[in-house]
Amino acid sequence: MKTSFFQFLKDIFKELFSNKINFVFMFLALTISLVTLNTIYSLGLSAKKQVMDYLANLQFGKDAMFIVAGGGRIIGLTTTRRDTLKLEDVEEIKKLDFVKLASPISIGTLEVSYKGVAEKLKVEGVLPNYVFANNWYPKVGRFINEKDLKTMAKVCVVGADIPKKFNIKNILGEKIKIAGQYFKVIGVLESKPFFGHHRWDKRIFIPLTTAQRRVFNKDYIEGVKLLFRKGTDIKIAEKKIKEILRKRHKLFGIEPDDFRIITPELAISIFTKTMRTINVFLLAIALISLTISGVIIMNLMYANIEEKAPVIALRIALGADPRKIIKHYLIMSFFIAIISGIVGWILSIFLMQIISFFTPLKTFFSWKVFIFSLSFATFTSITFTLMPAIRASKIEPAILLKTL
Amino acid sequence: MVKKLVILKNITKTYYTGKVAYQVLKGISLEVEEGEFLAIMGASGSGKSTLLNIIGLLDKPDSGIYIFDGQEVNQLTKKELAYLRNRKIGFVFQAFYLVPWATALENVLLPLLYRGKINKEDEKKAVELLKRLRLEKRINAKPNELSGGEQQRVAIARALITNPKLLLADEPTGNLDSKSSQEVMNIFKELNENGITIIMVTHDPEIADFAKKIKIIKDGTFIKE
Amino acid sequence: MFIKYKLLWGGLFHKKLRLFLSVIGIIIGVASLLLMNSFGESAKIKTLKEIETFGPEVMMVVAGSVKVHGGRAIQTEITTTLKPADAEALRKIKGIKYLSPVFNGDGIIRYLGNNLTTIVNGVNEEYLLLRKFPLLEGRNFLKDEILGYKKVAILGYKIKRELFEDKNSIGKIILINKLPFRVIGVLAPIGIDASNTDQDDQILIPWTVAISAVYNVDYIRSIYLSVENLEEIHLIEKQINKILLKRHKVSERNKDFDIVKAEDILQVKTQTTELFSTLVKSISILCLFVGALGVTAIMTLSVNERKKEIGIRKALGAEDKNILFQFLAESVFITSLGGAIGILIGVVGSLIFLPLFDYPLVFPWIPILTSTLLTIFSGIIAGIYPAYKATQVDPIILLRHNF
Ligand SMILES: Nc1ncnc2c1ncn2[C@@H]1O[C@H](COP(=O)(O)OP(=O)(O)OP(=O)(O)O)[C@@H](O)[C@H]1O
Ligand SMILES: [Mg+2]
Repeated sequence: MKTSFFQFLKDIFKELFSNKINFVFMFLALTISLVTLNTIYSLGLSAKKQVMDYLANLQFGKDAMFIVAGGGRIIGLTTTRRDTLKLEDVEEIKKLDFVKLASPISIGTLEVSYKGVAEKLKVEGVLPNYVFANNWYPKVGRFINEKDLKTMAKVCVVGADIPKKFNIKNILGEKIKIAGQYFKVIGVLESKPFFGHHRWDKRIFIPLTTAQRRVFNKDYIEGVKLLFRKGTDIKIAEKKIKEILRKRHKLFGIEPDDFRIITPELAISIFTKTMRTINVFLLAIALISLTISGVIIMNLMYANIEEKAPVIALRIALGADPRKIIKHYLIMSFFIAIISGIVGWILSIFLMQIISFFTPLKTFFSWKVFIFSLSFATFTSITFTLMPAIRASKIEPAILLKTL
Repeated sequence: MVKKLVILKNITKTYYTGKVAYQVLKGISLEVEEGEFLAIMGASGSGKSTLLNIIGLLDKPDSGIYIFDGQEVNQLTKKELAYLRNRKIGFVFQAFYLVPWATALENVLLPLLYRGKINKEDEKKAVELLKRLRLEKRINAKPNELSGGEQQRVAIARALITNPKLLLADEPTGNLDSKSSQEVMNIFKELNENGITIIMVTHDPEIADFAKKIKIIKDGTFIKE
Repeated sequence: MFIKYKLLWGGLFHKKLRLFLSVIGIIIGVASLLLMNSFGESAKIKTLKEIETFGPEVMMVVAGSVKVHGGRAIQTEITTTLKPADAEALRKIKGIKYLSPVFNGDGIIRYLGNNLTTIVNGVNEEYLLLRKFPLLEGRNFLKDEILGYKKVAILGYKIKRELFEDKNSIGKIILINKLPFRVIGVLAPIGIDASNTDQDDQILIPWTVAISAVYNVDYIRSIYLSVENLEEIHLIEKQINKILLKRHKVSERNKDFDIVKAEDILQVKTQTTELFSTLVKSISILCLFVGALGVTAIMTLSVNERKKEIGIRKALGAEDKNILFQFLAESVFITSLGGAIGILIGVVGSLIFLPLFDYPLVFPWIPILTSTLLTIFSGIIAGIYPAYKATQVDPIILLRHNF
């Protein structure tokens, strides 16, 4: 039994390599399509991963949410009042059992100066829990604490780029001027990767109370970052929070929200939107070319079987099971698929290396893509071999007499 | 004086298989006059087909002189050789080599494709040739619908459509039964009597007897009569 | 006469299934090439159309600060210091063609039983001209209506459909935030414009009414303006900056407004479209390439199988060029046949799929042309190797045994 199976495989290999042109072209067509498919697919995943890594680094991977004051379309200018989100709203949201942490933010762009160097920078009034909410800790010094908050202290924590910007060597303890008032620097945050226009490292943080009373002079906040307990259903959370806010802001009927809720999913989709459209089109092209490869395989299989017809007829005449002949060709196409699948995967990694050399896209290594490559190769190859294989099994032994 | 159609002087041909050289023809000299009917015999592997390839302008000798129809052919270009084959030489092979997807008539007309146009007259001539070879009922048959003898007769018709001076045949009866063989040889004889020069390779002494002259190759040269 | 062609082409039609499958490969390849090229072309036209309502000659002065990111103007801060008088002051600058103060806000719209919310844009009579918004019916605002605080409105296309369906809307009274307005016009469908807002989902009213009766503020959100002469745009930008700094009594550093040129916003958009177009177009050649590879494969196979035929043709006097031409012609034939059908399918496909994906429908002349050229080209490329192999067949094989 074992030897006969071995013989079976040997036959297949013999046939594959006796007809090199056939084999090479099947392999080539399949591999080219697979390389493209893998590369495009991987680059899509890679781009998405970059965005997700970025968001996860900000504690915005999942189980999180951001509420922004001011309604309107998700992107674009606010069209409602923006002064309605209050700390009391945050208190109310905090009471929800799935909310683990709520970190309100009050933002303004203010002139910041140090020894004659001045610049307009984003200043954020925050609570001590900001560090947990954003997974962002001081590199040196400390972050704002409860005491700062209570005393409305004029202290600030600065982003990693700030010392360089103002040319300060030893920034801890220095006083910088924010909107005309002096603030003592108590900490420098570690550097955060940025994406798009969010230059994290150029921000300055002050206690929320100080911000509201002493700097901005406003009782509303610009947004609040929420972290949820593990396994929270974001959809339900969003609905509940929306209900609370609308009720508190006395919005009824068709009156539009005066806030926007940004979920991680939404953030990802906003970041990857353009990329995704292009990717979908490119994937479609790769899949079409895979189909064409399938047609080529089918064509060459038919030709191969036609050439081998006398041998097959002889086998059938000698009593071979037609199913075994089908199996023979399917296994043969499976081999082609495996080889192309592996080669296509390896080449796509090389191709990505080259692409990543010229573009900001990163090489993405994943066994998932390998499985993906193999299964697409196998599926295409076997599907398109099925018909020729069945045809082979139906060859009449009678043709033997004609050819001899 | 009778004109000499083929003059071979000291023809040699060596084949290389890998690094091993094998000299098949070791100085063949031969003169064939117009209207001759020559049979070449010899053991398998003795170089008969090799010689016929050279005479038929399909291959070139390594050394020696070949004058075909008064023309030294060694220096001719591929194109000129193709022209000569088309105009002056007809081939008949053991395995017939008919184009499988073309009918008998179309096969006969194939050489004329490389002269440019194929007109009604050519078609008429082809039909006549097929009739002469008693194939009038098989004009539109495909090769796989014909018997071996019939296929060979189509091949002969194809060789004759260009009115060649020289007919080359490599074991024309090799794939045929004795009855068909006799038929084919009778045709050859008749053609020769009408003036066509024939050089034929064969293993079969009975077939060789149809020729006017027999030459035997051994060890790369002709055995002296 | 016919026999000549039969002898030249017969080998091609001998194996129908093989011919059919080779042609299918090319059909799929060319059809998708054409389709994808159409998408690429159409995407460009789509952008051009979007840009049209937001031409490079348009500028916005926005209260607060604005960041242009990813082709969107994102207002990062809003101030209330931009006043209608600022707009008037800017009018004095030479070279400005149209200018309109803008105040936008949410509005709840009512008509009979229908309620909806949309964006209400307070503008003047020049706004439509500036943005090149075409009117479907009715008319533009009159200068007197703006100055006279008249409660008149021009509806965005979607708003009109939702409130009035097919019925006539001109002259009807609608309620905007409970105030009655007379409809004087309806905008033609515009779609999502370059600033990423759906211009069909809005209502235009006089800005004077917007800041007084409707929203009761003393400031405006932005000033839209267009210039006569594109070359002067930077000069005018500088002048605006100077005038507003002076009027607001602020330094450059404490600027409470931003000037955004449409050009800045559109740059990313056109770049993205360009990227999309080139990527999709160039990768789609892959389909044709793989299809052509199939033709090469099958032709090479065919040459191998037809060695005897080639040998005999040569023995009978065919020159290399005859053989080369015969096989090149065969592969060009396969690709051309597939190409013709593929182009047909591709055109039909474009006409169906473009509207389906919300791309503007244009008859794909350029893609047809490029596909045709590429098809012929690939037919020749596909045929070169097998045709060359065919010429390499040596007729002496005919005299060999066991061949
Ligand atoms: N292309 C080639 N390369 C190498 N050796 C060759 C080649 N063609 C022929 N030979 C060798 O040259 C010798 C002569 O071959 P050829 O075909 O001329 O013999 P033949 O007399 O026609 O034999 P047969 O009677 O079997 O037809 C043989 O030994 C053959 O193996
Ligand atoms: Mg021989």
